[in-house]
This record gives sequence, structure tokens and C-alpha cells, in this order.
Amino acid sequence: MAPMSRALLIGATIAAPATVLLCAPLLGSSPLDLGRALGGIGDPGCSDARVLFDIRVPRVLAGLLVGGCLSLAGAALQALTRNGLASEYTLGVAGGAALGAVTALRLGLAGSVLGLPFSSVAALAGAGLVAVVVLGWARRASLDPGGLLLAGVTVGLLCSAGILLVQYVSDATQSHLVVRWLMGGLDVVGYGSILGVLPFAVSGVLLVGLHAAELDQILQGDEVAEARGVAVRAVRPAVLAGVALLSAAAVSIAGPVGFVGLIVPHTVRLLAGVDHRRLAPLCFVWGGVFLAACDAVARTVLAPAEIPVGVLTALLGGPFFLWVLASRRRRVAAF
Amino acid sequence: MIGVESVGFGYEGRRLFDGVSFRVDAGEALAILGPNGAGKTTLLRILAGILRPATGIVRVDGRDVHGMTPVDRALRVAYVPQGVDPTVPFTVFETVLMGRYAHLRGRWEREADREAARRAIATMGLDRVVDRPMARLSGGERQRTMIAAALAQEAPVLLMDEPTTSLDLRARWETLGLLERLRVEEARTLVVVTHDIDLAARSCGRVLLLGAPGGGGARSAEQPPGAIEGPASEVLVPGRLGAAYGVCIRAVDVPGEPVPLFVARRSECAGDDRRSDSVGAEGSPWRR
Repeated sequence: MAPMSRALLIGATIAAPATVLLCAPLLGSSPLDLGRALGGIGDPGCSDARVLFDIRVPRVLAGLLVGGCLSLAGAALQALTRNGLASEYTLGVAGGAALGAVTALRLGLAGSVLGLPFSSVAALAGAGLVAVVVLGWARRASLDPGGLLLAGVTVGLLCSAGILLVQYVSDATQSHLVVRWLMGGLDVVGYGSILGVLPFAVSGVLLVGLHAAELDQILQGDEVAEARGVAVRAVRPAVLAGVALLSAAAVSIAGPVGFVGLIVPHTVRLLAGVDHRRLAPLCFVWGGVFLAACDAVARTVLAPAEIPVGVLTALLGGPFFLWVLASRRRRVAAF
Repeated sequence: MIGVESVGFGYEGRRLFDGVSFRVDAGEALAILGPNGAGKTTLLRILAGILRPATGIVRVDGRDVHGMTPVDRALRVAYVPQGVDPTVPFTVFETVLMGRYAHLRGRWEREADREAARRAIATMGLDRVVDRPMARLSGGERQRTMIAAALAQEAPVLLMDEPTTSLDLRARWETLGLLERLRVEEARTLVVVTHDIDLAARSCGRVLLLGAPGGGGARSAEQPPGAIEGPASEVLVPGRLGAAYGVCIRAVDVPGEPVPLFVARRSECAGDDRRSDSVGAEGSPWRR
């Protein structure tokens, strides 16, 4: 990359999340007086301050975190499977996380395990199980990339069926909760739920980020990577665990928000190249910016009504996915 | 130096080879020849440390290859697999630079790594395509890029799986020259799997012929085919090649050429037909 465009990219990567964090909280379905809000920071009775700092700021932060996790998980899966169509959704990992979280919701388990929210732990269990089943089995059966996607979609559908079953045996209130959650949204969060999944997100980011150079090698084929000195048999499960952690963190906050893991990695790859040591941090930042910006749009475009952000990312992501599918013959840039 | 001691391997009950032993010193080249399915690539992957042998041991500089960490191993043994995935999304330079993985101290390559990559690219004559994506290379350029990446790895032992398969006549000839340079000037240890008998005869002093009928009997499940190892002029003889490949082979001496031309014949071998013919040179060491 030319030094000029490189500086531009680095600058934009710092400026964009800062801009989103400063501007997005000001947007919303009800107008907000910024002066009054800033004046009432410590005042529990000041409604403008409470809306800004207790609802909108954590919501934007959640968008940045969830988007980053989804995008990074997608990039890692695309490298591990050497398939540009892979993502936590097409491989069923996010479906597993959703089934885990919905089951926890149905059972009304609001408690915590070792200080971590139970729904997140259940989501991690679901995501991990699917990751092991789909990718482990695919390797054993030496499935080609097409077969792997088929297996992932199948497991994803199984998870959807499981979610429907859980919903069917729920009463009306729980069922409504599940439906709303399944639409994907960032509207139910406070700082608590962000802090709750932070251990998942941080360990997932580390597991993927620290293996960035290895992902480049694996992209050339396991045999080449092995010959270059990569411990492929240790790296694959570690990155996969990272993907499960990232998916669980994202899904347990926001529900199944689709397509972020496809749109963002592909776009960043077109701009900055494939080197995962660059790609991983860029994907994390821009994934967050993308989701937080989508969320800002989702809650203003039909104001005072809000559309779930998952609906918006799907509306954007569906056509994008088709474009990736169609451009696979020109795999040079998008692989 | 790479030493192989009574190595055996098989897939699901079918024994591929057993008791294979040889030693290749620095500045020597060994060609592994044999029919399809004889286990040439499998043996090479065992030498590379990617596959564990069922029996036996592979040593590089006296140390067990399969007991080393992957990085330790990669610093000693480089491996060029056969057939590169044409869709890898990297440029030639990036691909060659990735050969430096085992040398990385920290997250990023240093100037010394980029320098090694540039040297390898120049050695393989890839300067014109250095910034081109792998997907837009010809098969031969792609093959040479993978060899360049293995050179950048700077391991004393270099293993190559069919390095001349997708090369045109001229590129093949250049690769033969490269093997010679690596062996003589850089004193590397070369092990080359190939179907190219001419390459084995010209560039490799020693040959391992897999799939030769073992112990004088026909192939069977219990008795895996044997392996013959020795100087090229002793192993590359019509009788042994013919028996391994199951065709009739004649060696034809060509005037002015240091090695004979090996031709396969369609017709059944008559008893005395496994001998070599001559159209010129007298006293060739290749005839048996």
C-alpha cells in the first residue's frame, strides 16, 4: 500500500470510532438537549443526562463491541476455512450461540456462573459446540469448502428449529421476549451487560489477534503452513475457540445480528490487503463502526419508531452477500 | 544432512513402504522415483516432519525431526509441496516473505527478512512479477514462487515435490540449473520427488526407487514393495525402472549427452528387451 493511502487509512481508523462515539449518542427517537445533559451528569433526576449516559452511550459502546466481535470472527473463519463465504452465521456458530442464549432465556436463568452472565455462558456453550461439530467433523470427513458451508447451513437450520421449539413451549411473555431478541438489537443494554461479556470479547480478540501471522500461513494451505513452522494443529483449535468466544459475546448482547462478519472483512480486505496482522485490528474497529452507525440509522430513520438493527444489517448484507458470491470468480481481491 | 532409518508407513492396512533407509549429506541430491501411489509424496511429507512415520526415525543434523518444535524444524527443513492453490490472495513478494515465518522475532518482518525474500525472488527470476497476485501467474511462475519462498526460509535441507511438473521446457531447464547451484554453491541437501527420470539422472547423484518389487516376489498386502537406493547410474537402469513401473523401458544413449534417454515401450517386454540400446557413445556407465 502507498504511504499516503496507508496514513489515510490509519487516520480514518482512529477518527471513525471516535466520531461515532461522540455523535451517535446524540441521535435517537427523542430529541435531547446536550447542554442540559452534560450539566446533569451526576444528577439522577435529570432525564436528558440519564438518557444520554445510561441509555445511548452504552448502546453505542455495545454497538462498537458487538460489531467488532462479529467482524473479527468472520475474518478469522474466512481464513481458517479458506472460503470467503464463511462467517459465524453461514457456519452455524452464531446459530448455536443464539440457541444457547434463548434456552437460558426460556429457563429464566438470570444468575451468573463464576461471575459471568448465564446467558453468555449458554451462548458460548452453543457456539463452541457448533464450532467443534461443524469444523471438526468437516475436517474428519475432509469436506470441500462447498460441503463445509452446506454443513454449516444445515446446523444453523437445526439451531433455528431448536429456537422455534423453545419458543413454542414458552408462554406468551417469554415468547415475545424471544422474538424481539431474535430480531437482533442493541436496545436492551446498560453498562452491566457490556462488562459481563467483556472477558469473552477480550479473550476472543487475543486468541484471534495473536494468531494473525499464522492465519496468513494457513490461508496458503495447512501443509505449506506446517512446513513454514506453524503448529497448525494447535493454532486451528485456538482460533476456533476465539471465534466461539467472540460469537458468544456478540450474540448474548445483541441477539443474532447477521452479515457484519461478511460485509466488513471483505470491504477492509479490498482496502488494506489480506495480511491478518493488519486485517484483524482493522476488522475489529470497522466492524464496530459499521454496527454502531447502522444502529444510529436504525433508530432515527423511522423516528419515533425504531427498526431492529439486525433487520437493517440484513437488508444491507443480503445484497452484499450475493455480490460476493457473484464475484467469486475474480477472487484476487475478495478471495 | 538428513538421515532416514528404517522408515515404514501405510494407509488403512495397506503398507506403502517399509524399512526405507538412506542418508543425504550436504551438497548431495537424492531423487525419489516410483510409480503413482508408491508413496513418494508420503515419504517426502514424513521427511518434512508433517507426517509421522509408523516405524523408524528421520534425523536432521542428528536430531529427530518429529521431536522438534515446528519452528525448529522449519529452520532446518524447507518443503515445496506439489500443486499450489491458485487462489491464495497474496502477491509474489508477500508469498515469498511468508517463507520467513520461522525467522520472525516478534510480529513483523525486518529488513533482513525482506532482503532474504528479494534474494530468493532474484534467484528464481521472478523480478518482473514481484508485485503480481498469485492468481494472475502462470503455473510455472507459481511453482517458482513457492520454491522462492522455500529458499527464503534458508533451511539447509530442501525438499521438493515434482518441481518441474508444470514448467515448460526452458523453465524446466532453468530449474535443473538451479538445483545444481543450490547443491554445489550453497551446499544444500536436496531431496526431490519426481516423475522426471531425466532430471533424476542429470541433477541427482543418488536415486531412491520406490515400488520396486520387494524380495523378488510380486506385490502383495503383507509384503510391501521394496525400495532401492543407490547412485543414479546403478538405480536408473532399464531392468529396475521397468520392474517398478510395470512397463518396458529402454535406455538410449544420445551422442553428446551425459545421460541416456529413457523411453517406455508399449509392447510386452521380450526377455532380452530390458537391456539398453546405444546410438553412439561407447562405454557409458549407465548400461547394465
